[in-house]
Amino acid sequence: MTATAGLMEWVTGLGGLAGLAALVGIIWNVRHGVKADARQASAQEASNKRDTIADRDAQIDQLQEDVSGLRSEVSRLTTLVREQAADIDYEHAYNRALVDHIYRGSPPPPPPRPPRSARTA
Amino acid sequence: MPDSRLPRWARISKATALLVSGYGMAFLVGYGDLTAPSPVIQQTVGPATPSAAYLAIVGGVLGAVGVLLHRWRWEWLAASVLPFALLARALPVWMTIDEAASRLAPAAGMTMAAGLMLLRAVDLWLFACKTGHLAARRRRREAHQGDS
Repeated sequence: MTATAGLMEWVTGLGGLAGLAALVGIIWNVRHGVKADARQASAQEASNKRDTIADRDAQIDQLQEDVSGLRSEVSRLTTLVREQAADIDYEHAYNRALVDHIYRGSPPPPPPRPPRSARTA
Repeated sequence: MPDSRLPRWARISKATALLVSGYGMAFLVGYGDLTAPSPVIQQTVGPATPSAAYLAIVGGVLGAVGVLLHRWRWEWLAASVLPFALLARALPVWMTIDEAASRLAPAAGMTMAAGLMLLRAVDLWLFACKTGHLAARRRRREAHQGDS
């Protein structure tokens, strides 16, 4: 057999392999329920694509709703954290006043709590 | 199908007439090589190697019948094997171009036919992948909806 004949056989063999690959693809395709008729397969593809797009739109709507809910939750939590940070600052200030009172050896009563500002009240 | 969105006249002329004639020609390539083998190829490869010819005959018939009966998977199989059968037929001619420059045109013509057939095969492979994935996704979605 000449080298060209060998090459020709190789290319033909590749054709056989491509045919086998197509056969495997056909089995996979049939198992997924794709229609055998070309026109029905096209219609099925278009219908599946429409469903996929509708699903995606619904998912996007749901995600936007989730994002909106999360934003308002984050905003609420941010306000709460600010209020609690202000409470902590207020308590720290009063603690320092009490510690000063004790270190100075002042008699009771302890200093009164300073009035809370409108923001921290 | 890749041609399903074409207007009706284009669908008939492109998707049916041209494809059937293309597959018919592929059949004739194989049939011609079996019944009256080319002396150029015989001189290059020695005794006839008919496997490419059989591949072209089977692919041509399967492709033409697939197009006529709208069985796209038959055509998919045919379009997958035919480029290689045609390329195998073109190779010996390419190999002997230095002996006679007049062989350039048939070699290029046969390679072009293989390339165009490969183009169709790629279209059909893409269509198969798309339909298969969409159908699989739909099945998963239906199974998910059935569970919940």
